[in-house]
Amino acid sequence: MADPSIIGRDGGSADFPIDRSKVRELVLAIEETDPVYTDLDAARQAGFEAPPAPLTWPILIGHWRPGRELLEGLGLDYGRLLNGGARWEYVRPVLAGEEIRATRTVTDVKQKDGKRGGTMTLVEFETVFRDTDSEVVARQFDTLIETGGA
Amino acid sequence: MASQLAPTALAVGDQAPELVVGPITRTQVVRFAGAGGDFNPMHHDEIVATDAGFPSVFAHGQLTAGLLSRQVAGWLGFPNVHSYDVRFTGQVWPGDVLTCRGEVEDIQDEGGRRIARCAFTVTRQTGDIVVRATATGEVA
Repeated sequence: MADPSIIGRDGGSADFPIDRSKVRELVLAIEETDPVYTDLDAARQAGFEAPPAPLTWPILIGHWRPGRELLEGLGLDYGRLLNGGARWEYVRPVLAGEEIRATRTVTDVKQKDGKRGGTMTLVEFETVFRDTDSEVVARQFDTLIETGGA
Repeated sequence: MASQLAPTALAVGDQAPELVVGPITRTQVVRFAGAGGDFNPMHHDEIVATDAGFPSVFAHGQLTAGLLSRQVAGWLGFPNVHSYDVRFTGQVWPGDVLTCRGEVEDIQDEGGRRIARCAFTVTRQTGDIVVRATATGEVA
C-alpha cells in the first residue's frame, strides 16, 4: 500500500516527441476529421508552422514513461489501479515536430474507505510538460486509485 | 503564435452541437492503445478481460476523453482552450454509441477577456454517463 512517504517522488517522467505519425495515429483513433491536425496547408492557414496535436496529446507519453515497475516501486499494486481521469491546463498548442520534457511527481496520498469495505488509496500526480526552451506548455493533474483488497 | 481560430461568440446556457460517436469497435480501441502506448490487456485481450470477470474488453477512459475533445476543440477553437478536466464515471464497451453534450455554465471577465467554463457529458445509449468533463477557455 502506498503511503505519504512517496510524496515528492518521481511518478514517471520522460522526454518524448510529438511527431507527425503519432499525432496522426491519435487523430485516427479519436476519428477527428478537422484537417488542421494532419494537413500542413490547413495548419498554415490556421496560423501554425506545423499541424497541432489534439487536446489530449499528453497521453502520447505512454510509450516513453516507465510504467508498472515504477508504480510498484511506489508501493502500488498494479492490478488494483484505476484511472479516475485527468485535468490538463494548456499554455499553448503543441505542434507536430516538437520535443517535450515531462516531469511527473507524486503530490499527495490519501486513504479513503471504499464503498464495499476495505481501504482505497488515492495517489495524486502533477506532470509539468516543457518544450525545448524549458517553457511550460501544459500541466496535467491526475489521480490513480488503488482499490481496496479483494 | 497567430491563430486564425478566433474565440467563439458564446453566452451562458449555449449548448455545443451534439456529437454522436460509434458504435465503438475493438479495432478503434486497439488503434488508441497503439497511439498512446497503454497496453493494459483489459482493453484488447478478450480472454484476460473475461477471466477478470468483465463481459468483454472495454475502452480506455482516455479514448472517450479524446472523442469528447473533438467537441470541445471544435466548439471553442482548440487554441482558445485553457483547461480540460475529465472524470471517468463509467466503462465504455464495444458496440456503445456515445453522445457528447456541452453547455456554457459561467463566463467571467479576466483582464478584459471573457473566460467561459463549460460542462460536458458523454452518455452511452443506455443513458449511463461515462465521462463528466469541464473545459475552460476564451470566448468572444
